[in-house]
This record gives sequence, structure tokens and C-alpha cells, in this order.
Amino acid sequence: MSEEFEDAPGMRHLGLAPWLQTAWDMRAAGNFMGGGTGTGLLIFTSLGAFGGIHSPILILAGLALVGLGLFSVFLEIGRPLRALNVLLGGKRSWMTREAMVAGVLFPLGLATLFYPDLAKLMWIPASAYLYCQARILEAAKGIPTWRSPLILPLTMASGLAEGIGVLLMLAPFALENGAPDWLAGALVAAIAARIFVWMTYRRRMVGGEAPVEAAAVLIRFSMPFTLSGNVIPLALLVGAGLLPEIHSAALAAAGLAVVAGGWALKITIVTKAAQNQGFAINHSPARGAGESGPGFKPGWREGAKKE
Amino acid sequence: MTKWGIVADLGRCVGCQTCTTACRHANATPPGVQYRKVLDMEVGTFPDVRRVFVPVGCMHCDEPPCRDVCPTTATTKRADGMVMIDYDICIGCGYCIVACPYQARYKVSKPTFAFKDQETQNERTRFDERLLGVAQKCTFCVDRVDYGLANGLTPGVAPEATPACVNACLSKALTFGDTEDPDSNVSKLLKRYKSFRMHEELGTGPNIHYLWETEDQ
Repeated sequence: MSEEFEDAPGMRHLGLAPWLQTAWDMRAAGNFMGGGTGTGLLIFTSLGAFGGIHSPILILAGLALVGLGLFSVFLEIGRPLRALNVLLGGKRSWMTREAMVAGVLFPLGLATLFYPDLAKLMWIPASAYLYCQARILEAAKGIPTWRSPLILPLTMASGLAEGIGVLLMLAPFALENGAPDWLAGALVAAIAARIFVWMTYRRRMVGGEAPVEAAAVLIRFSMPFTLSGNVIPLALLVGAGLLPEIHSAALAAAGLAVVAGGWALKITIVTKAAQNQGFAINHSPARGAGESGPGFKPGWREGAKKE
Repeated sequence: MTKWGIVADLGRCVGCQTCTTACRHANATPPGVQYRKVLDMEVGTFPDVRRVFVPVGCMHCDEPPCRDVCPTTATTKRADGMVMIDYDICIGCGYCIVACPYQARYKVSKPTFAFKDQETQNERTRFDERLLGVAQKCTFCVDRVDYGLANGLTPGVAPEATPACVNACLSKALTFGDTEDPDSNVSKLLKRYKSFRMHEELGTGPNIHYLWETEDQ
């Protein structure tokens, strides 16, 4: 090895330490972005239906986002003509279950255009879809930042926050009286949940549950995400409450920031902080009459606790 | 019951990559795809440094995460423990690739050959269009094992019934056999010497065992 690379851990452990997975790229991230935001929007539109709110625009927007997410991941598969085979693995695979729930979500969503009362049922398949998406990531055992149990609440909290965000953006156009008052409170709760789970998730990943390189990505992402995707929207919500003249604009801006933060979170986790497990040995072998030696786990924090 | 597995003696492996070459020849894998490869680890810090060669590949896990996530049922586990892929069902979603903690799976979208556009005779003979756009990985040379069983041979003992990588190993670091049979070659090794399995804490139950202390104490 060239001397100039001798001290570079990345070179010394090339092919041994965890490296960034390339099987899922932005197209896969697009599924989590569209699916999370779309189902979040459908859930809160459905809840709004109990208060007499009905908007075909919101339903169609939610379905369109979910559909775009599915189309995005469709572009990634190697054999698109066999796409329907995705329905075969319901016994074990959360990806199949997601596809099956989509088979309920879309017909029901379209039916609400003709039977508005059905919107009160939309939260059920939408929540199931969001849950499936979170479990898809959690089941990917090869990627330490995905298999964390905290990915489930993180993905769900972000999806809900993003859904409210889009609702706040579309409310001036879709709802006669604008966004209902309770929506801002729901957004505060969703943001609080998202940031709480994020902090816990980040701490655990940095604490040794993720490879060093993945943890570094999360550390770099944390401050911009916390401020732009969570603190600023909260400030905008406060502004919307205090200044009636900018009420609608501030709510929409808060919604936009929340959605942008959520999408950035998913892009980061799916395509940037997605280092694989790498390789490790528990012991070095004894050769001949020599003694055995310690194990080796390149790319991970030394002394990181085993899962 | 039968459960096929490999025992890799880390004290014997010299990192010659003959197993890698044999595997690539047997499966005509394209550039960048190595069902069997040997890692070259430099462990420790000066002056106590040692070099360890670690053969890796699909571990044919007891609880394969790749099978659990597969949305098409293309990935299955046979009764004898081998994890297989049905190339005619797989849609190439890549989910199994990110689910495998051993980085053992690959997806190739277009035909590529060792010498760019110039395919070798072996690559031409063994080219399988079904593998394009879908997941692929080590099969423990299932065709050889099944052939051997059908002809009364013992996999791991008779070369005709043994994976190509194991046959090719010049230092006898690799041994293939039935880990459920207490009298098999691999069971005897595992009984006699100390071994570990990679990333065992993940609960996958990998079936490549690494011997790390083979001197009789």
C-alpha cells in the first residue's frame, strides 16, 4: 500500500469496513418520501372528515404522493414486467404487505370522491401503509441504521408531521375556511415526537449501534435537520398564532419546512447513512504453535456494545 | 435432517484466492461479483500485528433475513438449509441485498465480461440471461451437491458432489459437509476445535463456521 494512504482507515480497511449500500438509491428514498407524506396527509384528511371537512383535492393529493412513491420504486426494480410478483410474499415481507394495503388504499380513496363519508375510513389503510413502510426499513438487517427499532417510530412520526405539513400548505386552496385550528396543535405534537425520537435514535447510532461512517453522516445532518425541519416550523407556528395578518402564510411555510425536513431525513437515512454491516471476526487464529489473538471489527467504534 | 455448511480454518487459509477463482469459473460471475471471496485483514497494531485471511460469501443462514424480506418468494430455504433464489420470480427490487448482513448478494443489470466486450469461452458457455436484473449469490454449488446425492456420493467428501471453492482450496482450509450429522467431516472439526460464526449476534444463524484455534490444547 502506498505510504500516503497508510494512516487512512478508509484505505486500510477497504472492502472490510462497512461501505455505503448502492442497491437502493433516490428512487427507493422516493417511495418513503411520497408514501410517508401521502399517507400522513390521508390520515389527517380522514380525521378531519369527522369534523365535517371534506376535500377531494386533499384525498387526490395524498393518493398522488403515495402513487408517485410507488412509481419511483418501480423505476428501481430490475425486472419491471414482473412487478406484480411483489404480491406473492405476504407471509413474511413487509414490502408485499405495503403493496397489498395500497390495493385497498387507492380504491377506497377514489370511492371517497363519490361517497364522502368513506373518508372517515381512510386513516385505517393509510396508517397501515405507513406502518408497513417503517417495517420495511426495520427488516433490512444488513443496514445498521435501518434495523434500529427506533426507525419505526421515527418513520411514522415523520410521515404524520409531513402529512400535516402538506395539509397546511394545501388548506388555503382545498378548504373553504382554511386549516382547522387543531391542525397546528397536531403539528406541534408530531414535530415534538419526531425530534424526540430523532435525538434518541441519533444518540444510539452514534453510541455504537451504527458504523462510524454512518454515525458521522447522522451527526452532520442533525443540526440542520433539527433547526430547519423542526425548530423553524415551530417558530413559524408561534408566529402564525401571534400575527393574524401572516397566519395562513406562516402555517404554509411551517408545513413546507416540516415536509422538507422529513424528506431530507429520508434521503439521508436511505441513501447517505446507509453503510452496511461490513465484516468482522471474533478471534484471530492461532497459527502453528502461536497463540490466537483478538477479534477485529473495522469501521465500528472500538468497544461498541454488541447488539 | 441435513444442514449443509462450510468450516473455514482461519489458521490454514493463506489468502491465495484460488477458491474465488474456482467459484468465478464455475459460475461465470461477471466482474465485481464474487460469490466466494477471501478478505485480507490486518489485525492489531505494531508491533503486534497479524494478517488474517477470511473466506466469506452467502452464509446460508438458519434464519435468512434475505428470505424474510423477499416480496416475491423468490428467495427460499431448502430443507437441507441451502438458501436459493428463483431467478424466474425475482423482480430485482434489491431488498434482499440490503437485508443481508454479509454483503453476499449482487444484482447485475447488463451482461459484462472479464475482458469488456470480449467474452471468454467459459463466459459464453455459462452465460445465463435469467440472472440479469435479479439478485444472485452463492448456491453452495447446489447442482454439484444434488448431482452427488442423486448418484450416491457424499457432498464434502466426493469432489463431484462438493462446491467448487472447497475442491479448489489448496491448503484444505475449507471443508463442506452436513453439520447435523455428528459423524460428518465438518461436525468432527467443529467438535474438536474452537469456532465462531460471523455477526452471530444478529440472530441469523450463519452456516459458515470459522475455526480459530486448531492446535490441540
